[in-house]
Amino acid sequence: MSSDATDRFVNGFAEARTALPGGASDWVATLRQSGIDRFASLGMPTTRQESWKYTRLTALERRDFTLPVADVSAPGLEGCTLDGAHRMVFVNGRFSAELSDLDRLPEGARCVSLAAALEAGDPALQPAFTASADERDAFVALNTAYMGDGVLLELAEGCVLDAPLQLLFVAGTGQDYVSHLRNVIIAGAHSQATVVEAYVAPEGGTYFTNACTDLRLASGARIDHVRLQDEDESAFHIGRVRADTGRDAWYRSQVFSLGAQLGRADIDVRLASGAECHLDGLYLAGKRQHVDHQTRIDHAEPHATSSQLYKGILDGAARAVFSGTVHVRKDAQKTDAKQMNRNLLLSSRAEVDAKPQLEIYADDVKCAHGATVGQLDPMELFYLRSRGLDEHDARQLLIHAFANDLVDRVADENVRGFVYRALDSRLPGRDAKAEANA
Amino acid sequence: MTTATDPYHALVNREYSEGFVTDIESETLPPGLDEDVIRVISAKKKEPEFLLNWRLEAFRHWQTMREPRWASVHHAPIDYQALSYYSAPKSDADRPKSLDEVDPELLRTYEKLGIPLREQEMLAGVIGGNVAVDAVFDSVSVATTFKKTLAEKGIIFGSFSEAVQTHPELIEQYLGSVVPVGDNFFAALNSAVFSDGSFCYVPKGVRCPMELSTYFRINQANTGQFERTLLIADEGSYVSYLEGCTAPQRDENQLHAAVVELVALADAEIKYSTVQNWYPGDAEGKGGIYNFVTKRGDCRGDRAKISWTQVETGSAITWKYPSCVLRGNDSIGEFYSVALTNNAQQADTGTKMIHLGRNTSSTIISKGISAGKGHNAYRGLVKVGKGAEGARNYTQCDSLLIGDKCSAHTFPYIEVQNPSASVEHEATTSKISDDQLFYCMQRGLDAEDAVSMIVNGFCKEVFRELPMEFAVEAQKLLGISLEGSVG
Repeated sequence: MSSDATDRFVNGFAEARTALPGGASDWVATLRQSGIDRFASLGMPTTRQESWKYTRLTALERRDFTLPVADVSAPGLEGCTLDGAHRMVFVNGRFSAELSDLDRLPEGARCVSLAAALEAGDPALQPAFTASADERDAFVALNTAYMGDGVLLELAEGCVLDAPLQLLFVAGTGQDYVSHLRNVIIAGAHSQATVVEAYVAPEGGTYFTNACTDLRLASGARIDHVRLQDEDESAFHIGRVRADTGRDAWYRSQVFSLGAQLGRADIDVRLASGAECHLDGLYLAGKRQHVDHQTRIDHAEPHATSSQLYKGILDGAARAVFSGTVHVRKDAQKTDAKQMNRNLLLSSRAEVDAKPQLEIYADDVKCAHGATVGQLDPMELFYLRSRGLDEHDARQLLIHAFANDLVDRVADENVRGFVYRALDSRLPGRDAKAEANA
Repeated sequence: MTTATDPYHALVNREYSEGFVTDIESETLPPGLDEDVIRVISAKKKEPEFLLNWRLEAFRHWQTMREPRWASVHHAPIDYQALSYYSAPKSDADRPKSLDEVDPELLRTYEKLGIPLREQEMLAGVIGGNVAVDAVFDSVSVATTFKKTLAEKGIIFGSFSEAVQTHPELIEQYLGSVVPVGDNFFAALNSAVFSDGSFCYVPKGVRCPMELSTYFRINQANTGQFERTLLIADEGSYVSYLEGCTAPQRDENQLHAAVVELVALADAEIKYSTVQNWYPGDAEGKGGIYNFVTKRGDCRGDRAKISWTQVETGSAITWKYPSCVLRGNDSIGEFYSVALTNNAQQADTGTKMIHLGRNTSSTIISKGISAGKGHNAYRGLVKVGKGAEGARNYTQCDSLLIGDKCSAHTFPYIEVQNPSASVEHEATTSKISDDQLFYCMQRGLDAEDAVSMIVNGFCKEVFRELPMEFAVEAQKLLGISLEGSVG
């Protein structure tokens, strides 16, 4: 339990804060201070904390991360961009206007870089941070203190974003730097948007991404949120999504975690009356990767619906953690909540720890959860072999089918293709055949 | 925790040096716990040296531990120095003189369960009740007959203190081998101060011809609040053990911290059934029993099997996780549980299945029912170790909610380190649907009977595992425990 990392972040704050955006604005300064104070009192999470029980941060704590340098050359973006999408590109955690494409935004949609909004003391921002004072997540507190850039997306009432908005976070050159990214999405009543967050590293490196996305959905808003974590295999990624829905709002999150030596993705959703949320997740991990996904759905009001499907494919000496909580409050009658976690273990050194949880304080509810851990079904393999596929192809087909189940649920065709390409290059066993033939 | 007032120290030391043991039958030790108290308990029970040392080791370990806070239960802090760790049988002055002085609610329940009057007296602790036991059960002769049959088969079955005297070698070999002294806070406390309990040893290849039950030694059952049970099934043997009693029992001890250890050697099978119906307290939960129990079975040999079945309807707080360590290859662990909480009762219960051997399998069926302001949690762990090739687990936990003030939680932990393992977990939470109720009621059942019938159907999978006579009583018990929860 090293607190050196905590100290490094806390001690480095005084010097770093002058360079952080929004220095001129009093409320931003107060907010950042409250974040670092909070982080100092919480400290880095340890495995003694229930939500970090299976995830050790030793490898992260051993490194001394600095804030990224301002000027880095832009890496090539081929294959990372999403066709036909509005696009904001961030390189090493900083907004790059020339790489972005925001010319076709419809009326009522406002999309600016968070750094610019903080500098300008944007009034739309302040309410989005009101709950930060009693923050219980150390990384969010740290993010509040250090947040460098991200997006501020505001959708006016009834505004429909015709094409997906791609938020592309690119890791450029440099080593041992940390980007604290903060995205704020404020969706007005009955507005609609598809937001694709993608974290990519075409050039690789060891770095740390600490990202936090806050969404606020007004009544009847619909947000389709795809989050692709395709970081370098030596990187660290800690992500947190917090969604607060209004009445009858609809929120869907689809998480694809492919990269990072240590990847964590938490989602907290609060559901108001009649609201609906669907959380999907797919995690691939091989070698010595460690992935940890945690969801928490707060059924705060009656008549809300939630469903969750998380699947994992584990190879090598990888370890995956899934913890999902459905919390049904006292008066949240007529709640309908489903949760499922399925894990496929391909190697004898891989490990899965699953913790699906229900906490129910209302009686007129329908709640179910399930979890499975297993290997490829020998009968299914046999069937494919009997049809003339060799062992390798049969296995690949079944693994693809297991994963595609989730990719197929992505609504937008372009986004689906984008996710599929990223996934395909990472699925285990892909190179095995090439090696065997060589 | 070791600091005690001087007069207290003086008292203990004086009594001890003067042969305290001869006089203790009518004594209760003053509240408090330190090493001297443990020495007194041990000396009083004429225990061999190794057992005293073992208790002291447990106590020293306990002092370094903190009371666990993770369970989903709430209670006022327990002052461990305010408890008395050795009490002789209840003095007559505290006991009701006749059934007229007993809580009428309790009597009404006895009546519904169809318990004969004399037996009621015994259960309620009326003076002279012990005599009544003999009359009702004819327990002396019954027990004698049973003892003879068991002795012929070579089965050792009796109280723990007795076994310490007659078979110290077995105790030394097995005690603490499943639940080590430092296992958890309450187990450590129990190890240090346990009063009595049951001991059973079934020799190689012997199939125990009858269900063993503490029921038959009820006249010596004043085992107090820290009960210790040790059950050993040697190679190829079988034993079925029943614990508890469906009738609500009153007890003046609020804290119960029992430890049960089961050892199954190769090809042995142990079936352990519990019906727990301690006093749950009044409607607000006041005065109810805190039942903090550690139960664990060790399938030490290949093809061993341990099966836990429990029906938990009593106690203000139940905190209990009967577990199986599946060490032997092809060993089997089972857990069937019904936990019912009504009024202000709280239950945090479940199991741990630790798969270590190859081709081990486990089944978990847990049914939780919350009514009134009841608080019911399932907490379980299924762990598949690296070497547990071909391990298989199936878990199903269902919760039934009755009323809008109760709560039901499910906290399963699944840890898998072997790819050939297959682990399935399913859980649902629902309430009794209006349609089900309507259907039953239009067939002429009143609301209460309808609920009781539906709940019994909900629990059928578990009741099926109970020995016959227990199953019938458990169904009746469930109906009674649910009374007043509808309407």
